[in-house]
Amino acid sequence: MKTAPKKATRIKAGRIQRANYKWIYLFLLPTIVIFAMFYLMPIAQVFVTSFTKWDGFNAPKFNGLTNYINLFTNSSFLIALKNLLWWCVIALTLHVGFGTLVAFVLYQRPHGWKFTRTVFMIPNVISAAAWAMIYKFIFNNDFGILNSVIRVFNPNFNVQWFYKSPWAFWAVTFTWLFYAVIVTLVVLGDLMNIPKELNEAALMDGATGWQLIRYIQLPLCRASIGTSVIASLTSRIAMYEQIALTTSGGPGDDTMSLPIILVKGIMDYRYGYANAVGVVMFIIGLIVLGIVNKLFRMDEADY
Amino acid sequence: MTDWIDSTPAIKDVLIDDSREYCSNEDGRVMVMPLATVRPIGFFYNSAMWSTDADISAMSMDEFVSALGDQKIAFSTAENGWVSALFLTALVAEEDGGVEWLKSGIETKITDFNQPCFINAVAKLQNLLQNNAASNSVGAAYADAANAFMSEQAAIIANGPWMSSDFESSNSDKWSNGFDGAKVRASLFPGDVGIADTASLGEWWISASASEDEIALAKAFLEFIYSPAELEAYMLAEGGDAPKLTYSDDFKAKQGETQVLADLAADTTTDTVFVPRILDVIPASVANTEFGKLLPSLADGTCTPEQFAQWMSDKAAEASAE
Repeated sequence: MKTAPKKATRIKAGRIQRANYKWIYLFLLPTIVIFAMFYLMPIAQVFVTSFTKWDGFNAPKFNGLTNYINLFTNSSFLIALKNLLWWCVIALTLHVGFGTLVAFVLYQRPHGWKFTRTVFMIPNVISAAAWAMIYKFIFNNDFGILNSVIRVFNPNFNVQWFYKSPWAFWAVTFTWLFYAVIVTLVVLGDLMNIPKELNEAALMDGATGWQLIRYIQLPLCRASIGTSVIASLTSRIAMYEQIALTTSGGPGDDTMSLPIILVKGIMDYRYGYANAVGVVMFIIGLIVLGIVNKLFRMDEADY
Repeated sequence: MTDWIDSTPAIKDVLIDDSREYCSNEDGRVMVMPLATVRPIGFFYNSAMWSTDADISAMSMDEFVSALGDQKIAFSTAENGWVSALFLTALVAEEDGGVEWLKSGIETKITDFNQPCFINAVAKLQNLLQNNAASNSVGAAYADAANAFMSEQAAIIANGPWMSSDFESSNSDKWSNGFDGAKVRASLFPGDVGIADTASLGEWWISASASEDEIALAKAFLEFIYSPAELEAYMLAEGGDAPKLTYSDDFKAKQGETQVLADLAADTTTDTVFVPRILDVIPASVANTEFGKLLPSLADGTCTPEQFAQWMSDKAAEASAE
């Protein structure tokens, strides 16, 4: 005979527990204050002032959707969106793919794997701004190493990578494409947490190396790969130094990005307009977060 | 500070009229200390690589380019394309209506670049970029352009008199390839054009919330730095001209000891045409980002002067949108 399921009863907090509430709130208070001051209020201010004409000095004046209309009718903005889409596709496939591949190679612990891992981490110690300057030398037409190597095969090769269409887009892409150490470390961490017994059981059942990767290891790295995708895509949305210090969004608008448009707005004392760009970046980031969370089922446990 | 300035002849008499007018409200109240000195920008040339007996500032720009021959000019296209912008300013100033067009941007930033004076000047700049630019000009920041000049890869660089300190022997660590700072000479641009914005804000103001003591101290400080001795000391260090100051003999003698400052002072006469920098009379984002971005395309010929002008106009319109 089936019995009706018991309703969950809420246990009333005892006197001692109620006395502890004030300590709970007290200990939460600093976090809440810091979160409100440095996250919530600035975000709210960005949203509110994106609907205003504001020079940063005088009081903002409400101007409705003017900033957004100006933004969406700006040809540079549309090119920046297109560039962002392409960079996201490249980040999702090549950047995260490369980092994951390196993680799987290091997981096999080949000879010198620790040294390789350390060397692979070095670029992350150097700031993006410094890397941009280094790449200006690497891609220099006259004495850059890239063109020097190409000229061994084609002596007449002359390309100013950062200043010529369509090469500038790819030159900017190369400033971040292979620096996937965060992806590698996160994925490698998940790989190392896979119980040995799973691998052994699969091998005993006759799984090949590729089947092991395809059916055991990759699925169990789902969350870490998803995290890497989120980190990589949000980095593309916020990417500024690599472009500002090399092409400034040029030649023309070939490498234009949303942060460059935002900074230009600030230069012109159009803070409301700049904040409208910030809102668009924020919304794109939220959409990316939501899609990746769903695709990679990041709320589900593996075990 | 209007009353104080008017009752202090030692200061009132040295202030540049254009600057005082710019620093004043519609009712004539002075809100910011006006300028007493102006540092006209011209260019420096390495006399060991190129020189001429003719008075360069008295030449036309065409005569100057012709006299230049194959000599190289250090340009920059990165950052705000500073060095290129200075040459472009001089080229615009030499065109019919160019001076007026540049000065029209002092009060309200220029947003329409489809003007013959600008397009013609850009065409000449393109010619210089293609035929006379130092090899590292495309993609060069200011430091790269300065390095090209001080390593004898270029005979000419445009910059302000403050660069004179780089040519002193104490800064010889910046030199290479036989460059000698003592061989550097200076000149205003052909057409006796000096780039200087006399209608601009000064560097000092007194806060309205300052106490009486603080205001008194501030005024004493301003009287000190606007005194003839201090103005002369400033000009000896940084170069420039105080058009309303009577120079002491000591100052004239010392100024002559720095060749480039003496050259610029000799070129600065009552006939000198002062024009504002083009970067100062266009919207900030266009000056700091858009201008330099398109220079490489201008240099390699993929962008025509007309397209360049239209691009600048489009970007200025975006920057000024309400």
